Amino acid sequence: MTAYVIKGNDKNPVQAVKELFSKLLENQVDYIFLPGKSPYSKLPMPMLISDTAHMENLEPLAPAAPFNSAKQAASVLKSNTNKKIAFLLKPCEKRALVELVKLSQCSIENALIITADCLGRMENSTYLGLIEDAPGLIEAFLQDKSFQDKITSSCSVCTQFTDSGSDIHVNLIGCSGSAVFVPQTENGEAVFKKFECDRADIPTARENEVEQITKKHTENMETLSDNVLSKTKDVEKFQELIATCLNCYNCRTACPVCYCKECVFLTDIFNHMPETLLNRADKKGIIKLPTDTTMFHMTRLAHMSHACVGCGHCSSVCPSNIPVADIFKIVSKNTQDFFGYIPGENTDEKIPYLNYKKEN
Amino acid sequence: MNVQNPKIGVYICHCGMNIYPKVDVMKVAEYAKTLTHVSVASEYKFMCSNPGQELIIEDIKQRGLNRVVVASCSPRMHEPTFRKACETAGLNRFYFQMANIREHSSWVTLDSDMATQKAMELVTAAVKRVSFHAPLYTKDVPVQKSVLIIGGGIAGMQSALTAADAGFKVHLVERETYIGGHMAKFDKTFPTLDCAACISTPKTVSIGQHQDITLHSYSEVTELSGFVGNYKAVIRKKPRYINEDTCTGCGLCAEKCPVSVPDPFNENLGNRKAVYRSFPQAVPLTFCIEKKDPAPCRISCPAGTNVQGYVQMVKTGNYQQALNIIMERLPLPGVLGRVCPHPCETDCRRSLTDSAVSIRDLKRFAADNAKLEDVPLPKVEDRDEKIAVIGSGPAGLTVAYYLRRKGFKVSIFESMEKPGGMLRTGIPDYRLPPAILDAEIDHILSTGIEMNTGVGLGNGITLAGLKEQGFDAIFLGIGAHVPVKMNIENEDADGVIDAVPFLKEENLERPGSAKKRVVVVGGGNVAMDAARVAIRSGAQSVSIVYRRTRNEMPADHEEVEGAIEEGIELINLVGPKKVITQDGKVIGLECIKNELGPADDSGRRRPVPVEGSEFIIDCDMIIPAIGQRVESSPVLEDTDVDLTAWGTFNVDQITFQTSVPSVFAAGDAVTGPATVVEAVAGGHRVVRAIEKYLNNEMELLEDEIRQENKMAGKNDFLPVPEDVPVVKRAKTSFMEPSERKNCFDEVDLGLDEASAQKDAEKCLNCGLCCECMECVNACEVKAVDHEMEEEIIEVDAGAVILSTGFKTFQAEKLFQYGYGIYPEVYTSLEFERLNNATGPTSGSIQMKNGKTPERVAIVHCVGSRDSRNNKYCSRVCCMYSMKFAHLVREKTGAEVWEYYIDMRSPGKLYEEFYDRVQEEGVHFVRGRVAEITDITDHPEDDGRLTVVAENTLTMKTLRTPVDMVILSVGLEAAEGSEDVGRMAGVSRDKDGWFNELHAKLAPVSTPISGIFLAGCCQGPKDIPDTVAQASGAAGEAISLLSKGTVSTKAEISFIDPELCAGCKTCIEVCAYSAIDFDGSRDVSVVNETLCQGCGSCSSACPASAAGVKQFTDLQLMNELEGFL
Amino acid sequence: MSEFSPKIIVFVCNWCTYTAADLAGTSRLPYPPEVRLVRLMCTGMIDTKYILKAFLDGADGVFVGGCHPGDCHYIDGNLKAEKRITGLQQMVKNFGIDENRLKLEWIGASEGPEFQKHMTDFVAQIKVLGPGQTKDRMIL
Repeated sequence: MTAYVIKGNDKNPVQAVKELFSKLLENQVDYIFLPGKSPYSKLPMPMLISDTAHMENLEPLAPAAPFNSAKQAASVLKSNTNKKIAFLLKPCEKRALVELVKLSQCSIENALIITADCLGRMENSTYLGLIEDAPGLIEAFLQDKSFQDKITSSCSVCTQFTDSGSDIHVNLIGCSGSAVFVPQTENGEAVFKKFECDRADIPTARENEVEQITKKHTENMETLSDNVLSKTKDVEKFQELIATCLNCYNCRTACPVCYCKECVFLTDIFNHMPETLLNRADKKGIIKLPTDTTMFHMTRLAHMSHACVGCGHCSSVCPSNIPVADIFKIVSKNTQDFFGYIPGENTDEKIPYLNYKKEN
Repeated sequence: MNVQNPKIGVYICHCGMNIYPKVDVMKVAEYAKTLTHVSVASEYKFMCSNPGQELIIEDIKQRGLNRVVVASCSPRMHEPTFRKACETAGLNRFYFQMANIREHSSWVTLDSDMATQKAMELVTAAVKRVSFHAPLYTKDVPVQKSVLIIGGGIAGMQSALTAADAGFKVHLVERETYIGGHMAKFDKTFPTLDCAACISTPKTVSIGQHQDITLHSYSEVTELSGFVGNYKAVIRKKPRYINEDTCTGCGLCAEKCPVSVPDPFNENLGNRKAVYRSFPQAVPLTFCIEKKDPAPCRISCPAGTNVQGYVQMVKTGNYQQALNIIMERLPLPGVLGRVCPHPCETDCRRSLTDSAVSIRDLKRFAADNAKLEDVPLPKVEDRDEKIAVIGSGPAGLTVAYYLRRKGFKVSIFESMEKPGGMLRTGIPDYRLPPAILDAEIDHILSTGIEMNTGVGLGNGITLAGLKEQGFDAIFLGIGAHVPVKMNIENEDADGVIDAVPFLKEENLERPGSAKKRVVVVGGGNVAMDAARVAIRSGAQSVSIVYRRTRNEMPADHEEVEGAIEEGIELINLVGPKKVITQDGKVIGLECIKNELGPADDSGRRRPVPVEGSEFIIDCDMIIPAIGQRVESSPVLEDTDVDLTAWGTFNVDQITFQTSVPSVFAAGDAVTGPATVVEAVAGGHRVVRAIEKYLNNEMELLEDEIRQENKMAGKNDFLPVPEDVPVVKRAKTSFMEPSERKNCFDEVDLGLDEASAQKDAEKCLNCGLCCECMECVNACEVKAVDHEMEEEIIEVDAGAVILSTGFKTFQAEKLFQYGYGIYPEVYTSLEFERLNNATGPTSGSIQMKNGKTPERVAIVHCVGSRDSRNNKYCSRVCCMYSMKFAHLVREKTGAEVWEYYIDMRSPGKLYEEFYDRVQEEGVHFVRGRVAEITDITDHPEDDGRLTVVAENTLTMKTLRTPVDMVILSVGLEAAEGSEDVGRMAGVSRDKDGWFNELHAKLAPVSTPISGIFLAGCCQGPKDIPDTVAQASGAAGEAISLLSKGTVSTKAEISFIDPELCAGCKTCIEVCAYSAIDFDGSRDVSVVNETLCQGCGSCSSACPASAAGVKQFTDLQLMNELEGFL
Repeated sequence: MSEFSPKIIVFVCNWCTYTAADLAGTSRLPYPPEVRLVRLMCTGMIDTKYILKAFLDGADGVFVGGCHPGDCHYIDGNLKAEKRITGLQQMVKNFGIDENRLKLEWIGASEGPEFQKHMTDFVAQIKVLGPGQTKDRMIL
């Protein structure tokens, strides 16, 4: 496979990525979509840019993200505008986007999807705390393993931190501080035909390092499942996990693959009439309010667990610190293994429930 | 209607004693009063009765109820009743919910308290649910004013006439070639004994004539889609090969048809022709030709000759037509009738029973007994294209003859003085008299082909030259004439002459060139020919040296036999090593013994020389016959045509083109030395290719041939009958070896007419119709069309009536009754035919030996009321059995015994008929027959059957000797009714009969609105019941359609555009393509006429935007709330 | 304390299994009183919500009865249900809800005796598995 590095910036991945995107915006695409910081917060948010004048605001590869930007990406791709847009996405964001394509929420025909190795993200507070007194945090993060213990629990068990389906994938791991661009589709290949850049080889160290991280994360996963399973082993235990859920539905708002306009739990089906609540109280003598929290979480699991990309944002946004993501992680793994389904892999793969026809 | 505060009325039904007392209805009513929103709850004896309904109507009016729950029977029974009641009171019918406390509680719960408890919960759930019901409205849509009827028996006919007379268009589909079904096979009908034909033919006739009935006979419905009022059916019309519009039913075709097969209409008791009409009064009167796959003999003939066809013509003595059929594919019938290795006989299915038909000899017989000049030539326009055929062997002659028949200008160039190629030079006269060859070649040329002898490539013409002369295509049929050398010492010594030149010389000049002691080397036909010619041209001893054993010899068996008879010695497992000479002349052949080693690629075991086993055979002449090559040099002189590794011409396997597009090749020149028929086959491929080439349609050829290959090999043949007599294979007579070895006269004298016809009789007609075209010639109105193909017809229908009828129980299953073993054991249908004026015996009741039976037993309940077969009573057997008894008594005066279990004779005049038959002296024995055997107790009964049964009234075991036994077989659902059921969505009960909507109240309706049942497909019934029910079904259909509109289902899906996220999942799961996508709003929209309300979309929609009216999430979740 | 009497919700399609249940009734074929039938047009209608609701609100077992494959009145609604329900069995397993408490069976319109048998067997099976977790608990 051919790989490329950007002249001059081969020792600064962040610069290299910026360079690539400004080159793209100059003469290959109409817009670029990647994380940047606004004047009002150091927290990187997805930015949609039409003019290279604003490149300095960009903050690619930052180990933080207030939410999974797939939904935002989808919102600019919802209907075909014939505009070409280049995206920089974390692998989990790209996977979520692919799921949304399957559900006709957007089309990526005119999109150039670029992904980068992801070493995980920190919770917003952690990140803001660190960025204050360490401006070079982003570069440092890519180098210094000590930072990497600060990532979220979901990221620490993630084994899909690279990507093979995007147009271009930015190799960082095992590249000793430089960014190596690997085109993975014809569109991706075409990009590098159009401007100056050096061919390069993928460093041999990479394979080994990816293996190391995978191994570590797999071990983390085992520990995680042990202690989550102990809390989900029966419905009553499960209550302990979700007892404080206040039905704020933040988790589903943050969920990149929960694409319903309005959640069924906001409809009359669960907006009970008073007598229903009273009847329930009659029946059991005592009921907890709000009701249907277990129902809510299990219904979401039943609806989404096959599609969960494990980005972990549901946990990050929970005001009651319910480890929603951890629960999803475990349940999803079982569901996905059962159906032999890998969400976000490719757009042609049918989602399991549509795959019901018997042969002959 | 104020949905916010529901006022619910709950009504508990006693259903007489069916719900109460098992369910304490008062308690349930009291309990219901305590439920939220319930403003009145009461119980009543029969809620479905008028007073019961009044109760509801009054409360709605007086107390302003806006919801109603009735706890009674299954909604499948009375939901419509109560919905109607609500409507009468001005309440939308969907503000109603039913609780099934009868089928689902009182009838299935043993404990009374439990039943009551369950009833209360069912009521609670219904109450909770109904609060969330919403008013629904239906739309009226127009209906197709036509009825589709599947099955043309008496039921289908009755329904058809009833509906058509009411002014509706009717499509009547019948899979047989005639309508009338089983009734058409009956002679009399019980109890009135009027003749079945007399009462059914008026109906069949008026169906044939009715302007509003379209009869699709010999057709089957393959697809049924749509919904009530608007069904669509796809009908597959099988080809009759006879045009319905022109056929006058005169029957000349059947008279001429040579093929006779068992007649299923007569239960195979008699025979019919391949072109047939089941019975004289059949409607439609059109005849029908039945074809199977082409017979194996025809498939295995390389030239594709219609073998079955000409064999049948020999059978019927029509030798000219036999020859005509042969000449369609074989230009040299007499030649092939003598020298063909007949692969057809190897595949002949007759050899499964005794021995293959002597096809080749029959071919020769036809050729010898018909006139070539009378073979008709197709009338075609002459064409200007010129084709040069080089070589006049079998391949060349085939190409020339059939291209000429297509109108092309053909010139043959033959390097020898006389045409015929290997046929003339290679095959000795005693096998193929020159006179025959000359006659056939002359005939070929007589069609207008130019023959140039003494001109060939290398002497006179060149390929380039021919092109210049303006030939549009050239065919190379130059054969393989160059001998292959033995490659041993002294091979060129005087006295060594190869078989090819030896035979050529002997055949053309006959110089008697053979020396005294001749050794022929080789094991093929050429070696045999050389040896047998040598004997005839003066040799005193001839031996054949062959390196393997006789089993591996490629020569035809007949040839080897012939040689041995003529005193020729076979020396096997011996290979030539060296020619021994004395002053240049041959004096012997040194050979080495072989033994057989492992098999080689040809599958034959390879000979391995045995060290030191050399020996010498004294001789003065050696004739090597180990193979020939192609003489290609003169071709290559001016045109480079690709050759194969073996030096043969390399041609495209489909187009037979050489590397030069306008040059084609076939025969030995392509295949290497092979048989005459293979050369002819190659010729045909070339003819086809050249025609396409000259029409510039070469590309079509490939598809055509691929298509044909696909068609081949389905192997659906006429089954071999069990009772085929063993007939010895016809043998031709031969000239005595002693005299024939001294002359070249033909050895094989052929078959005489008697044995030829007898042998042709053996043909099993594997392909059924033999395509001899006699019917075509016989038909005065030219109605026969052997090219006819199946038709696909689409029809619309507002309603569908299923009347697929029944089949009879397979009597073989009860082996103890000896059906299929003892010839005098008949099934009831067989007896119907036996007794029928149009049947095999023209209605005389007689045994297979022609005698009239004196003692007859009739066995009831065969396959019915039998736990091992069908539990149910078939309802008609008792009555028709007594009808049989009466007819037997009346026609033969024989004594008759009826073995019955219980006599079932309910119905008008049925019991009276029972009495009458008793008075007629029929013996009635109450008891199931244990066994029927041919072991008799008294010598005078030998040859009779003994019926063993216990008379359960006298407790005595009876052994009754009889001449004939009739098994009264029961009825079973018709073959294929399962498929019809699936197509129509109508379920079948455990016995395979279609389920009616309600056993008492809706006996001709099905759960699928617009689809009705008539006749036995719903269960066994006799003709009166069938006709009554058929009229009923038609009536239901008419009442459905006469309004002109049907109201659409209200319980269909809806998609809330506010909630729909436009993910299109619903569109993916909808089995009816009833959901469209509205791109402008990015939401899915339900097509209300197509939606069937299955709810696949509602469960698939994650946003719960999709739902089914009357089955909404809200309603079901609250129903559950009530249960839990 | 008296013998455990389970609460069992039975979702049936209108065309096959509900008809079979009616047939069991008209043929007076008794089966345990604990089963509660919810009538749907087709098993393909069943939303996972319904089944979860049943389990979380005190049902000890859920039985789904539809047409035999190939006999579905709506072509293949039953197959869609099969896929969804096998998925759900996996899901609830995570929370210690034994997958045998959720059963899918094909029962044709003419199979009254089969309906009786399935009901009897299922109730027996649930009795062996014992009470579900949510009975009389503050869960939902």
